[in-house]
Amino acid sequence: MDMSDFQELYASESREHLDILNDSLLTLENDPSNMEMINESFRAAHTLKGMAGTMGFDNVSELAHVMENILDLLRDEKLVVDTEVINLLFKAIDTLELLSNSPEEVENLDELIDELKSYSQDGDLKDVEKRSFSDGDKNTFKISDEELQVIESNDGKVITIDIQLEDDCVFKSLRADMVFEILEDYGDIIRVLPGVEEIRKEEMDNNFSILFLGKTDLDKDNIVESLIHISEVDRVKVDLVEDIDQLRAKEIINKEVKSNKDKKEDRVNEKDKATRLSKRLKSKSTIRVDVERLDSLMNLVAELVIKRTQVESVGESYNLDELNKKLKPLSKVTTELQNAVMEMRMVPISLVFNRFPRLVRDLAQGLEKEINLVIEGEDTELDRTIIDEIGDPLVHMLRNAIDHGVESPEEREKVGKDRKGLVKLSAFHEGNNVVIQIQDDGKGINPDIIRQKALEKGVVTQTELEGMEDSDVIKLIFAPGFSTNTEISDVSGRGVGMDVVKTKIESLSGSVDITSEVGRGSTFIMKLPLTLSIIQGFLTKVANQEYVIPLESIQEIVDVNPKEIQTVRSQKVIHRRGSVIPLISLRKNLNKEALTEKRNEIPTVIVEVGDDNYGLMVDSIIGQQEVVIKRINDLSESLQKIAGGAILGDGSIALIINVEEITTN
Amino acid sequence: MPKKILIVDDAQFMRTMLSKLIEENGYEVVGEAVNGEEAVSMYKDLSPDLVTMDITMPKMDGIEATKAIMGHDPSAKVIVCSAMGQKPMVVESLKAGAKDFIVKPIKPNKVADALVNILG
Repeated sequence: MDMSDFQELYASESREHLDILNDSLLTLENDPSNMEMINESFRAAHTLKGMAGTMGFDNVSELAHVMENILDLLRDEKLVVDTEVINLLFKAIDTLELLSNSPEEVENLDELIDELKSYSQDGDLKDVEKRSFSDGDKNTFKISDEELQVIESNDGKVITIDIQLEDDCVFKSLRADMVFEILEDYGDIIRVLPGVEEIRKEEMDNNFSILFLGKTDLDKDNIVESLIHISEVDRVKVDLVEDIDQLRAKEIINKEVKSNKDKKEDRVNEKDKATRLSKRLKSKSTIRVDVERLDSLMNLVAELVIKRTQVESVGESYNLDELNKKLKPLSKVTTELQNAVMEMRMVPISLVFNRFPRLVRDLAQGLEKEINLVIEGEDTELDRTIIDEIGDPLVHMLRNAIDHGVESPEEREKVGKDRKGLVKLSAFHEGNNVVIQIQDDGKGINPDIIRQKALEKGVVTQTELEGMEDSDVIKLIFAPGFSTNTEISDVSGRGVGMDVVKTKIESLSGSVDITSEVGRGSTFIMKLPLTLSIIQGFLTKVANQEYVIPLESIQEIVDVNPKEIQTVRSQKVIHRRGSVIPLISLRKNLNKEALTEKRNEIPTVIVEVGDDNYGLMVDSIIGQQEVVIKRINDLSESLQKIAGGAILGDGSIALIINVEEITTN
Repeated sequence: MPKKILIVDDAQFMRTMLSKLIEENGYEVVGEAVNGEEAVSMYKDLSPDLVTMDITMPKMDGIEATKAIMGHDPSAKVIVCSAMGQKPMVVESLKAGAKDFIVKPIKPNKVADALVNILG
């Protein structure tokens, strides 16, 4: 059988077990008496060992085995759950992860295994198992005179049975037991070589011999036939003993018994009782599909949507009512198909969040801080592509929150806060977006310090600063050049500034924002689209070019009477429902000629960015449409106002407005 | 008609592996259970000719499940799949009525042998 078929399944399932190990150890560290968690991690290590062994990954299997031994001792309370043992186990998990991802980076594997072994005092167990039974004549039975008398006084046939087990037989004694059980039907066992006790302790080679007193009608072949059908019995040889005196004459071989395994056996027995239940590993009926296949399916669906809108536009231009009617159900089907494919691509954000408890623990330990990490909404689903990309930015923001946000336990006590800092990571839906928040109750960001630093770094000028509110000042941390990129983070292994985070999120058509209060803490808010590729948008026309405004950012569409427009600090605004909405002319913003004719009503799209509303003035509004985003590569700096291109039903190209960018200036 | 086999294991990996092996040997996999409880109820529904039973599983372990199955059908044929270091559990399973055992890491020829030995 070709093992490579199972490689992928092995990889993903071992990943799950590593996650379980990580999670349960974290819980265990905080709650050392949690037997459930010990059992759960034991089971995960155990399963890993079995899987790796089957795949032939002996080093993974061995490492999992020594972990399992330690967990076993913890379970039997022969070891105490303390930071030392937890750290050791984490080290083993990290190495296991490395072994499966990039085995070439694994160093000192033997050292680690030895360390784990010495911790569980299990070091010499294997050697004992391997120590083979004495060499010498296998057919030499040590029988007493009394036994000989019994044999002589009986009319049965005396035979010797040599059993050869398969080389890799594991529980030899159990196979021997099965042999003995079958033999009971044929007569009596007089002697076994090596002794019964040695066999029970598995201190034997792969063969053993039996001196057997069979019934008078005993048929050699019958015995062979019955015994060979026991699993792992390789060869059976039955010989009639003609001369009983032979047995007496032969030299006797003594076998010294060495064992320190009795204790171990008892322990394994207790293991039985301790086997508890856990719901964690309940398997769902799922299949695993390569993301690339989903991507190509998604692309096909996208093409289908384009083709459908093309046909629709033909129907509309020629007023083909019959065609239009028939197209309605088709469009319903394609929409459903599209939704189905999108749903397939959705994965819970827990895939990313699950890494964080461990990360936060390590960070907190390293920085000597106490952190209570609360995770909410880990079931929230996002497109796989986005999930794959948000890991690094989130790690960076978490690291910031713990490193710069949360104070040391001493400082916190001084200001009357709980020693443990709270870091809350939450995810939830908001319309067509998923919002991810990282909230800490640390010292917050002091706008004055930001002002000073921003000036030093030349991010802003003194005049620019003067007009800025505190809430805008702290947003400067996202500005390019603000972060000190020289700092090397142990988390990502490279220095990343918040501007990198912002760029990354924006490349995913998302946005990032921050609120902060000195002494109370900060909150980072990331907004991400549920999915990429196909969006609902409003098609508008500006200077004969079609532009798409993503529906998710649109609040409403209004016709603004020029008379309503007021000018506040050289900014054109309108009043709507008690709030002031700045107006942005897309013509002006996209460097088009200003419209010469005077209009009575200006079509305006009100968009929401963060908490603020803006009105985008366009020439005309065409209508709502589903568009397939085509990424435009190498968008130059000056084109940042465009998020991408979209192919319309008639084959023409529309540009998708980057609402964030267009409203920031 | 090929003999029907029920696979019981909490690990998808093991189930897939066993299933492939079993089918390669000309038997039919009629069901896959992920824990002891499911195994017992699937046994009652499917009456398979043979069960491969993992020992360490959530909800109900393989020993309990073997006992329950033997209680329901004394002629049931259960092969226990154990791991190294689970000898006492194997002993207990054999006592409970399991006909044979295989030890993980599983080797294709051993599985085949065990199946042939029991099912013929």
